[in-house]
Amino acid sequence: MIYSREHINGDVRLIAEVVVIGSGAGGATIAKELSEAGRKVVVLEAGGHFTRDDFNLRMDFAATNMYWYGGQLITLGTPMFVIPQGKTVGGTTTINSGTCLRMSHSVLKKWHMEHGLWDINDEELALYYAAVEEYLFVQKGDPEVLGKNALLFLEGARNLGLSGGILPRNAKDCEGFGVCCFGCPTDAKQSANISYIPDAVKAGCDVYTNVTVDELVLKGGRVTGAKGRFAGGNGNGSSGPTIEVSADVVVLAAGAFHSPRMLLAQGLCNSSGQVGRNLTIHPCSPTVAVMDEKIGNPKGVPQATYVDEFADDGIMLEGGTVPPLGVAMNLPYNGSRLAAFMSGYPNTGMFGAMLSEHCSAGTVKLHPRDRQRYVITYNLRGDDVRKFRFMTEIMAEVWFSLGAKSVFTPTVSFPDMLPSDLKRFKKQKPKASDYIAVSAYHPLGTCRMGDDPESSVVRHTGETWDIPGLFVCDGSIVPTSLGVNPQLTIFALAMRCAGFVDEKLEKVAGRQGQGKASCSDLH
Amino acid sequence: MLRIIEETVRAMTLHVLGTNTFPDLPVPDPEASVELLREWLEKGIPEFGAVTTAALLALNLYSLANNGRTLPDCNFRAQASLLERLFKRKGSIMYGFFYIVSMPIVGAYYARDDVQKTLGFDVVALKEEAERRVVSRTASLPKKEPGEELAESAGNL
Ligand SMILES: Cc1cc2nc3c(=O)[nH]c(=O)nc-3n(C[C@H](O)[C@H](O)[C@H](O)COP(=O)(O)OP(=O)(O)OC[C@H]3O[C@@H](n4cnc5c(N)ncnc54)[C@H](O)[C@@H]3O)c2cc1C
Ligand code: SF4
Repeated sequence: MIYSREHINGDVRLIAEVVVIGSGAGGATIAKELSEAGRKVVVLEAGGHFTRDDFNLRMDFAATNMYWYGGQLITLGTPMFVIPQGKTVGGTTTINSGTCLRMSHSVLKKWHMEHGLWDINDEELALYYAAVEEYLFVQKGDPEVLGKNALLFLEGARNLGLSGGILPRNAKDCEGFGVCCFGCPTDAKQSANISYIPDAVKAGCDVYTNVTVDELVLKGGRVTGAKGRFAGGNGNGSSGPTIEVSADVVVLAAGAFHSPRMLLAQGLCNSSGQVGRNLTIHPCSPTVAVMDEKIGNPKGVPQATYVDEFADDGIMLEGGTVPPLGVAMNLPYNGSRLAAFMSGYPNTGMFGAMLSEHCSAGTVKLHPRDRQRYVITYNLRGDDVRKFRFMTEIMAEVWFSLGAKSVFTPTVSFPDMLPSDLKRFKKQKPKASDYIAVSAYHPLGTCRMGDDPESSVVRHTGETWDIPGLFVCDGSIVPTSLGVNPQLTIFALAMRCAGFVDEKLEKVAGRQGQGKASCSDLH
Repeated sequence: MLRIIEETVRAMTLHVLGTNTFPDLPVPDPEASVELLREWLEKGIPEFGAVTTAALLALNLYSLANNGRTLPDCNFRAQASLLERLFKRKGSIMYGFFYIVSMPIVGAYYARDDVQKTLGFDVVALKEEAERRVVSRTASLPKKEPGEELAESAGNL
């Protein structure tokens, strides 16, 4: 059952075999796999439970109800990135764009060579990928619903000799309502809130929503459960009743910011000194083009086509149709220029790019005055600055080749680029500080996996080196930037980790000389 | 929220949105900007609130230094020329402040159903259509009836 705040009248005490903290790509997958294997699983999720009935296509509704801090999370550094994260049942998958790509063999090779992760091999990973893809109906988007913007950009890129195609997505019967990032109103997008979580619940899992976990419970060097608190009566803050779940295994799946924050706050699992370090984010940058022709906005899929010509250099271009508010918030204009630009919204094209492999790394540290919060630092440096600049250049080039009159770039030096500016833009020395209004969506690496306890936080199984029975299973364990959007890999790794958690439970049961523990609700 | 902050956001709304010469765009509502800022300050990280508050106060200090009055106390024309000057100082800290303060104003306006509809994104019609199209993991969606197209943005513009 999915419990929400109004079901709860007093403090809650539970016993389970596994308690999972977070219901996103990592947590939901673990919960489903283990529940279906007959394990008693309790999921604790900080966000609320929303369904298609609630999803009203409004960005402001989504931001205030389903994103951490109203979507205003930012990195400190140069440039500053807005880095929104989901806070709802299904985690960030509920409000993501649905792109599902496998990472390449070359990235896995890096995991082998640099992180000793030889236990994860191509063949095994391919099986997990295939299982997730089948379960989530991953398929290329239907050109009929992708929207003109994405197809036009792809055509322009191909005319310039760049390779690209239609993105595979976890969407079934998608009709291009274009609001995947605000919650899919038809249930077409197979995010964890409509796939993994309902199937976990069907298999007996209990999900407690609006619960912020703030403590991992330890006894004799082992983890024995987790404690948290429900939100207050209005669903905000965490001033409600307490909840404590005793369990043989705890799976921390709170995402690449909250998982390290929790470990740092309690000083756990950090013998390597790597908790909160090695943050990669896939920095993104948009372009908005003013076209003569109508682009057919707002029909379409927000992330529909890609250009992978520069994938080997760590650059992926991906884009689609974005509602007006998304465009307006990305423009450094004001006054009549803003109004003029927005009046022309039906004629605007938008496409984005991300540094899909990068050497810049950031950190997640505890907030100096509030241990419940964290500070993210990230600086774009070295060759990444040049590549970031190149992303803007190539997107502008595609738009101009399609006849764009001007292209907005998130740079201070050329915010509104005319075709005649492109040459000068290319000649200018790239500077990280030239960028404003940039964003990132894929934090990874802050509790990285590896084969060496001195340089990693968890084993290839997801179990922490330092605390038996404590697993981390979310984007934080992914040790490098991935070259592609991460959700499919996180789902696949979580499916793999579920097997090791199950094995661990067998061992614990063996030690205790008993069968599977039973869950009893003691509240 | 401090009164000066509310008044500054109210005063800036028309300037930031610049819709007066675009009769097709609905009239801005300064109260909606104030309301959204209030919500952001409540739900956002405290640092965001601190930076926004500092930015609003800095804009007023800048106005005092240049016009001898706070921004809300200046007349419309003086407000416009001050903000235009700031807008041109791209890359400066004052421009950064101006940009931050503009966000709730732009956000509140372009989130309005009537504004989005004018631009072709009719959330009410699309939601109604979505309600009729229930995708299930176990069954396929029926083919659309002829004429049952996505609520197409007539778009007045
Ligand atoms: C706007 C957007 C679009 C994206 N688009 C794509 C895309 O198209 N394709 C793709 O592959 N990836 C995409 N991503 C990224 C992808 O969704 C994430 O990488 C993925 O969901 C991360 O999985 P996770 O398990 O690490 O964390 P999440 O999915 O974020 O789940 C973590 C969960 O833990 C909960 N939690 C945190 N702290 C606590 C606590 N203390 N107590 C209880 N619960 C807690 C959170 O509320 C959250 O629900 C996108 C991301 C964003 C923001
Ligand atoms: S584009 Fe498709 S998947 Fe995304 S919200 Fe619309 S119908 Fe759902």
